[in-house]
Amino acid sequence: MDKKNKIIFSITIGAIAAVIFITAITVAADLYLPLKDWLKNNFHHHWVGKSVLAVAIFFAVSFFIKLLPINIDDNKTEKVLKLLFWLTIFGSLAIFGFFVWEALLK
Amino acid sequence: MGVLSIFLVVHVISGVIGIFLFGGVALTALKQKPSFKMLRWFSLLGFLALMISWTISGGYYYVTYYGKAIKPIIKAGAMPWVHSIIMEAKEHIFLFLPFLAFLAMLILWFYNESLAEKPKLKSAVAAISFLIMVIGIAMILAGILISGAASR
Amino acid sequence: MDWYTFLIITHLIGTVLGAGGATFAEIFYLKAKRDGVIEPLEIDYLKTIYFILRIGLFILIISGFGFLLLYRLMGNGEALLNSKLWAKLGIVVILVLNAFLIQAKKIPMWLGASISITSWYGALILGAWRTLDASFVSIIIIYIIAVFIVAGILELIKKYLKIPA
Repeated sequence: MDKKNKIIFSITIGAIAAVIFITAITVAADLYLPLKDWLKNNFHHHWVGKSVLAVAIFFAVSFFIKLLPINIDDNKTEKVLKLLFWLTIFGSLAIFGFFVWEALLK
Repeated sequence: MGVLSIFLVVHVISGVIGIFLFGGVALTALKQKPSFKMLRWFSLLGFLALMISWTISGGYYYVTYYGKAIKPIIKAGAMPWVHSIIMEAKEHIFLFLPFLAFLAMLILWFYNESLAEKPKLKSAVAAISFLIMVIGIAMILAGILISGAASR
Repeated sequence: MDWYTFLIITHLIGTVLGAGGATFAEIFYLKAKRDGVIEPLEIDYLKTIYFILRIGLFILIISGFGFLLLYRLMGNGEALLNSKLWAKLGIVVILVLNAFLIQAKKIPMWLGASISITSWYGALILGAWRTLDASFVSIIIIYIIAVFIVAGILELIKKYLKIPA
């Protein structure tokens, strides 16, 4: 059970990292065009770049957390799942709000 | 029907199926005695459907066609905000879904029947699946608006 | 048979299973509650009806999107901005969210049942009433009023049949 808990915990942290990354790079790439150009030049399209990097970060962070010598119980797993839930909502609202601001108020 | 039309059809239908299935996961997980077999298979098929909607169909359609052919029409039309706000938000917020779906699926396949003894974890799966469904519904409505705006 | 006819037939099947299922779910629920005790066999019948209702909803949603895709691909994309369509979509979203609220016991049954019945028949009427020319807001206002009217009717039926609360 502990092993399963740790895997789920690691993957949840990986998902959290992916959500934070997607939110950050969405805003950053629109505000700092050289970043968008870099994504386009290296991945053919900026959106493909964001997708690929998000997947890479997800797996890298999950793998890294899995290797750490930490004990994970049900409580910790439930806490990070809750954090993921709220971060996803926040990230969605942040992205939507950013594009509203950029389109109408910038 | 051209090749691009097929990609659009596959994108929409697989996305709708994926979202419906995760809605099913959320609803089933809320029950006191859910069918764990149903939860496992709904989550797996839902994840696969979302992956098809993201990569093979939607991604290809978006990268090869939308930017060149649809985006200019919307931006020049009566509702340019549909691209600058709705489509931009949709293409980025959607990226959250595969990770959430993968996680929900993994929890259900890892724990299976023993999830019955972990009510908080079961609730977390229900909550995440519900979130996938809600975000998914927003994606669907956004997609309808985008397709409509492309005709104006 | 062309795609449009196929989608009409499929959509109708979904409507029959869904609206019919919702109607009989309410009828059987009231029947089951009449003696104050919902027995295992009655629960089993209700579970079967809800299962069929969800299949109906799935068929309805997939065929509905089939229509939207058909309009889009046949160059009639403007239809996707129709106010009646968006009202129907809104009602279907409310129907789905209502199912969750009922399952999670976060909504009183009198309201949940009324939203379910009104939503199914509301979507059916909006789909069938081809010549209806109304704004999104006016349709939704009428829908909300209808929810409370239907709730009132269901309460009257419960009182007449002496069904305990």
